[in-house]
Amino acid sequence: MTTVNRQFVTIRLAGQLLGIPVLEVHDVLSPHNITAIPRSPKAVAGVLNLRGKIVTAIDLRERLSLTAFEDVDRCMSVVVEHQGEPYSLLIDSVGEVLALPEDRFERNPVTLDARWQEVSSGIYRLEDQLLVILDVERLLDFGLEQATAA
Amino acid sequence: MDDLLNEFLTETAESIDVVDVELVELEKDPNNKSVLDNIFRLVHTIKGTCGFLGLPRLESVAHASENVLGKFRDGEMEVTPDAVTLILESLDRIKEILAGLEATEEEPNGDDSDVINRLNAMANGEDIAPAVADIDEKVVAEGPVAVPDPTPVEEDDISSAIVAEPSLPGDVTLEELEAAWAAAPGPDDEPEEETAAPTAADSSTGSLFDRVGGEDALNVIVHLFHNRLLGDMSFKSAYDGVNLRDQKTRVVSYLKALFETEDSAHDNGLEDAFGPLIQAGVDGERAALVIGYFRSVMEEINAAPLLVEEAVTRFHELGLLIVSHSEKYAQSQVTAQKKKDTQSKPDAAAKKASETSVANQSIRVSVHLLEDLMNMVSELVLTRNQLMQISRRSGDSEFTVPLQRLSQCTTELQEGVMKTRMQPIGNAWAKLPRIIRDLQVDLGKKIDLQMLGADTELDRQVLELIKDPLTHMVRNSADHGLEMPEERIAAGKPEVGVVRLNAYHEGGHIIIEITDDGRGLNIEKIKQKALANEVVTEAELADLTDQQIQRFIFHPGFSTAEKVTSVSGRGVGMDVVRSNIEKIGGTVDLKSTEGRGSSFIIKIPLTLAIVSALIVKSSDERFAIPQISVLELVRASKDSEYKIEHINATPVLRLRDRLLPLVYLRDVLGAESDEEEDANREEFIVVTQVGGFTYGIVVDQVFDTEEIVVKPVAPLLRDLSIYSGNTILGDGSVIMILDPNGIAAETSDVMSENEHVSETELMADTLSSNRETLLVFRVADDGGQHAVPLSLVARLEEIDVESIETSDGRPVVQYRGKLMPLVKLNDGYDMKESGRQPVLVFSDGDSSMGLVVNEIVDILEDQMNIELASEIQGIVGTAIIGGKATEIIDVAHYMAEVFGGLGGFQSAENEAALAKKKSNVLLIDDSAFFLNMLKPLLSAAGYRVTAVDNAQEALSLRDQGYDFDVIVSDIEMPEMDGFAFAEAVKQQDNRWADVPLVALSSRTNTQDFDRGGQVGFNDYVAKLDKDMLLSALDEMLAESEDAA
Repeated sequence: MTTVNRQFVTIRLAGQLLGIPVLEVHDVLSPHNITAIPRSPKAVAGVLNLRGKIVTAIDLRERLSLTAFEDVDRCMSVVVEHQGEPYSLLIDSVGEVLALPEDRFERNPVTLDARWQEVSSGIYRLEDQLLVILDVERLLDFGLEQATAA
Repeated sequence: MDDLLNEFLTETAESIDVVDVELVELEKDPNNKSVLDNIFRLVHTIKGTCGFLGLPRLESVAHASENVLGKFRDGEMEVTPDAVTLILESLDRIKEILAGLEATEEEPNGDDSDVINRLNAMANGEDIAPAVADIDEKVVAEGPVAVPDPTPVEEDDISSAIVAEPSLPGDVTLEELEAAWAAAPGPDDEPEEETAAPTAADSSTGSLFDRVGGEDALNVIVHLFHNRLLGDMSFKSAYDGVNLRDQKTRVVSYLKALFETEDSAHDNGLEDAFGPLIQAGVDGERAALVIGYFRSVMEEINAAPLLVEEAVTRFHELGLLIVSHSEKYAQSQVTAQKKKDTQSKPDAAAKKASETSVANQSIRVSVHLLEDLMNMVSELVLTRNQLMQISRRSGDSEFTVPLQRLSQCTTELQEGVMKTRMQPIGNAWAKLPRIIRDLQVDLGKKIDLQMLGADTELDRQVLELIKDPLTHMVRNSADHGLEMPEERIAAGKPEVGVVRLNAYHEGGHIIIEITDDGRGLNIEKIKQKALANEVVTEAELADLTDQQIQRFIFHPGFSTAEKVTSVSGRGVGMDVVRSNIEKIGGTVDLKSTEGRGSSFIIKIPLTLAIVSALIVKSSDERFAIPQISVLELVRASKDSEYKIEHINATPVLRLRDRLLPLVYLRDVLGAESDEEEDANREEFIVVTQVGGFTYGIVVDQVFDTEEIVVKPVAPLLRDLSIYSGNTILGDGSVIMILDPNGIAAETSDVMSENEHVSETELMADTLSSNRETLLVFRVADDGGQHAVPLSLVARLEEIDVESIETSDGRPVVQYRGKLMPLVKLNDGYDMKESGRQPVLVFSDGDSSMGLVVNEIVDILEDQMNIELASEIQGIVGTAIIGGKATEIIDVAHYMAEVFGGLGGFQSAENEAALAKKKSNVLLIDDSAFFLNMLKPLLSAAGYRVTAVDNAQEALSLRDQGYDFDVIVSDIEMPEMDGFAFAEAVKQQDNRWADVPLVALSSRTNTQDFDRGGQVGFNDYVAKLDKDMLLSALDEMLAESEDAA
């Protein structure tokens, strides 16, 4: 039997294991100096300099309505790209790269929090815990939502 | 897209732009041969390339216009505006086709026969008939001097080639021609032949020479042929310094020999006849060109097609011969060069070579490549900055020197790349002559477009962005600004209106002025429009200066043109212009004088890519403010010369002669502010200018200026108008770049809850009519504050207590050669016993009075709303000034008291008036302060004063049957203002209609004077000018006395 394996970078955020498709991750960053941007949407932690490129840092805890980071300047982050712009997602820690067969991918339980439903494309049942797969597109597509809310 | 096609499109577009401009030039100066030649050559090239690329539509249109141009060139047709219009039209068609071609890479379908037919009609209809008639006429009338039509051409060519000084076409023509014809054998004999010959030629038999039309025809052919050659820059140089007349004669004899026989071309006399060509270097390709010229000449003299072919074939042989000779010549030149290393005479060939090398020194580079290069350089600059910072921190190391070298190279590289992006602003103006020309035709105006400083360079990107606004503004100036010729003459101006563009550099900016000498902006119209659009209220409008009112045209929806023309007047203009200019960090301002013209001044940065920015800090974050909008920096603290003051919690700064509105950056950023700390903090104020609006941004700290590369913010943050971008600093950190425009827009929202950002609102705020500058003082250490309008105070003095004397039981002091009585506000305090005594000096005419005070507290600008009227004599009432209850003193009371007591203080005139009769004065003013101030004053001057505080009440007095000798009314009053009141009073059949009216107002500009006069005020007096008021009243009463 040939099943296509998909690879995910696992990250940890407030105890929860999350996965991002490995091909979407451009970089994993150690803590960076982040310049806060007053008046920006809450989920925007600021901007940082990644090898001469300006990257917008997204506070993933804020984005997913979790408790706030203790210090955003000490966060690890993974850099993803959305519509040609680089974003760094602030997280607690980075785990490993998992190769998981496609046929074990499951849809979200319907009872999952609407906010999570919105940004997650589905889950994997790992042996000891659940892995929530993040949909980067939807995760970063909150500019519009913000604009309409404003 | 096909490279070839691409190249063609770029080149053709450029050529067409040039032709556009040159045609307009030509129209002005139809005899300018070089312009015409240039046009012809460009159109010819377009035609040629189209044919080569297989673009039949383009080719046919270009061909048709080339025909007409050819007729111009050969002088067969006059350059008329109609003809130019037609050619411009054909160019427009070509542009259309090009646009289609660019979009689809294929020539779009369409029918150009209309344009082509008209062009052909012009070329044929108007040339053949008149041309023939012309010739006949001349032949008959002038006999030997008679010439075929191509006269002007010859004249000019000859003059340019032989005669050093430029000559007028008319007179030289004949001389030159005469000489030319004299040189050619026998032209005098049968002048008719030359016109007859070409047409008759096909039927004749005999040698080619005969069939072509004999020597006369050959003369014409050779002449035209040389014109063609000289029209081609690459050949023209070869003929420099050659006697054309002799040259032509030699060519004629050579061709005669060639055409008379069937023999193939021979070397005999070739060098003589075609020497310049041979020396110019003719290869196969260029020979084809020469043969092409010959063919076109043959066609032009209307030779039969067969004859043309035959002649061209013969000429072709000749061409090959020339090529071979040319090669030989070139070789001999090279050897000669080798032999004699320094050939002193720069010959034609060498010249030619140097020309080519100049041409080869510039290359076409795609804009993308330059952009990429610029980006890379920007990155390099950033990295350099970073390295330099590190190096500075780590002190001396082995890196220091190479780093400095790197830094220098980077700077030079940056400058170099910047230069490649620089283009003369004239490029953005290239289309303007054409536009103006079309406008002249459309609108029937006469316009002189002057362009100064066209070679001023600025960044390509900026140039692109400024192009459209500029075009729009020039159009506006020509359309709205300039009057019709009749109006101009009526106004005593020259018939031709001037639109002048002037560009120059000024400190990192480029300034572009667009000036016209037209009618200027109509302020009344703008006012009406502003009111109609609800941009301002009437009251606000009253306080605006003319310039502020004029700036309304930059608001959306403002067009004061009565009718919408095809050109402008749709009201979507100046606001877009302004926003476009502001988008690139520029500003636009205007000056206009009604009847004299307007001037728009655009100030834009030279480049956008790398800007100098001021780094500031607020609420623990650093921000960059583009240096371009920073005027100056002010440090303010509790004990420095400058301190931040508040008007009802709105922070302001007194900066020299103006009040600067302030914005706390931390408020803008939404940071928490600590009141306690704020009070003692040392603040830095970045005085910022956005358009005509200047304001201060209060920051916590100011660092350095740094060259930054502006990078756009992420899409997520684009909605934040307070940032214009972000950048990486030398230390590697990212900082946000503040947008002063955005901040101004935001804060004035907050300040005035009005979405329009402009100086006007803020000015209206500060200048609001109740605002007074007050002198605040104290009479006793523990007493309350007193205030008096500063405008009433003549001087502040400190008097040596010892110099105080007593006279008539009152303290007086000798002051400026007179005795000045000193008064105390009340008896609750004493004068100082020693040292110096501060005194407020009030003056009335020659007399002065000193008010003894204890201490002068401050001079404040504040609302003077009298909250509590006072029963005490000498006190108008109590107002809150600077946050404290303050008694406003009634100066007039003290004046009356002192001067009344001393007697003789009224002027003689007043006394006379007083003696004559007691006049009744009605005083209307909504301000209790002024009523209280003026009433005693007028009473003291001997008038019986009735005071009311609104116009309605005054009118009801009228209805009750009161009569007055003169009415003094304020202008700004609630409900019914002074103007309306005057209108009501001056109505027909009104009992008061003849009573003199005096307006009293703090609004004393000319418009108000005029308006006052219109509604019936007999005089208009500034509010605080007592003397004026009194003399106005005297005058008024004297007049009515006389009338009675």
